[in-house]
Amino acid sequence: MTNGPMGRPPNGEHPERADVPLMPHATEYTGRYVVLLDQRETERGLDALRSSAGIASVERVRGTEVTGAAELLQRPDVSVLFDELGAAVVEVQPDQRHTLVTTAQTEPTIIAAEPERMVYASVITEPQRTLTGFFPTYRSDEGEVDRHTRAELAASLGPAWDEQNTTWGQQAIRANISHLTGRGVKVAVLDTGVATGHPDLAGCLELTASFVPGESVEDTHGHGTHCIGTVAGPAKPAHAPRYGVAGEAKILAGKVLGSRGTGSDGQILAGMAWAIAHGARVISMSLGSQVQPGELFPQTYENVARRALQRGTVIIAAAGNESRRPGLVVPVGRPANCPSVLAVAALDKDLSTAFFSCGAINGQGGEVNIAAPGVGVLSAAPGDTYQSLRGTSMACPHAAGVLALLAQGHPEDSGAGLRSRLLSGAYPLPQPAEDVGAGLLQAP
Amino acid sequence: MTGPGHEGPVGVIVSVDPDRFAEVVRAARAAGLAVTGEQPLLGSLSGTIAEDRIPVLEAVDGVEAVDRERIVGIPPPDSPLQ
Repeated sequence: MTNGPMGRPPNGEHPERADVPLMPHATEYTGRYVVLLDQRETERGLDALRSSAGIASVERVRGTEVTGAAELLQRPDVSVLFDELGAAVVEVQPDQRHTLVTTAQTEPTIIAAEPERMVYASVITEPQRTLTGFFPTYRSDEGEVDRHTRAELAASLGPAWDEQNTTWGQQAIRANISHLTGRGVKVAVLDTGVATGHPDLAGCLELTASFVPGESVEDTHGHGTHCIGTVAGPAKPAHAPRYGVAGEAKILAGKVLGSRGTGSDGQILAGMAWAIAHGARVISMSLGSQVQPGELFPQTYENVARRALQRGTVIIAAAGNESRRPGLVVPVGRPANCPSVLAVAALDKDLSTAFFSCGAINGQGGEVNIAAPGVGVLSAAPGDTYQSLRGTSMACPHAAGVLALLAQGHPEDSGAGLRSRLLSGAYPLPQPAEDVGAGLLQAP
Repeated sequence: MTGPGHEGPVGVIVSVDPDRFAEVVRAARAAGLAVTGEQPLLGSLSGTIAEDRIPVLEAVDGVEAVDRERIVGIPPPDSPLQ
């Protein structure tokens, strides 16, 4: 499919429409590029673009010069630099676009470059809102358009993923095309333990401990093994498609739920303290208990989560599976309902909210923070095998894996920094924030 | 059987000031808390206490919060919804 930006038409005509037939407002490009420059050295970045891509001569515009800017932007022979923003709208010949993107990637004073788009006022009654997002990162036209096209395809076609090599969940969060692996980042999974002998997982297990009296860490339930596989299953499993996000993360497997799937708050707190003491940057808890509408979050968990964040550890938890949509939406469970704990909702293969996924009924921490694949999720199972499960429990470890990737890329980040990086990287979805928070989880 | 106003112990989790952990734990014990787990790093405790003593525990200097302990459950292994 050819979805690249189209040539810029003569003034006064409508720009050509990019060939994306799925959405009522297919993405349209103007042919120009928006370039974000290091504000201290705007000239250096522009010089690089002049000499490599032969961009049109640059006119500087100050924020107060409204009419002048509008006229300049109309002119095909002029690029416009917005001084206060450190951003430029750059005119470039179609055959120089690739050079421009390559230059942007190698020139350190150019922070980002992306094709300029046509923007529309959104129509509230439009049944399928256009998926939009701005990623201030380097992307070529093809990558950007391809990514949007895939997300749009997913939204419109539903469960039509090719999972031969990679599970749909890994594709949806783009973990399979990230160059990060979570190498060395410690992620604690507090759950039913782990199948320690699973050939896919042996390499990622850093440390194990059981907080369930009378039970070893060995997972006879399967829940914990499944979650750990989603966080850190290998990039190329021998007998399954890729199902893990951060194949080189180090897992701290804490058993806080017994073989029948139950545990107490006390066991969970003990597991959290163990995880933090051993340097976990992320604690993933695919567990919780149901709360009533209007019920307040547990302050003890909140205080613990705050102290964890101060130590650089992000705590995430499954939002809960008690909704029965449409019709019944049950509040985000506990401890996901703590303000300092990130609540992860589950998405179906068509990126709609999973029918069981809990929602933001209660305020004060009861919100959903982000959404991740939670239906038809394939991962590791005891007995050296695999199984497909659904639940917000399956969505949560996807987010834990992405946090590991982020922590690898930004080891100096604080807990709050990692948290906001995760949320700001999400891909907006058409559903209300009450159901999906910031949107679809995305790997960096 | 226990008499009226004297109920059996219930599970609680407690958040305390981590900077004076040992001192607050001693005071919590004195208030009737039987400690089953303690996490000095995070300033948290778990334990059991007679239900009618919870207000006394909450009033202990350095105790920040007391929550009734809950049992967390996930579905059995054969359930498709986890």
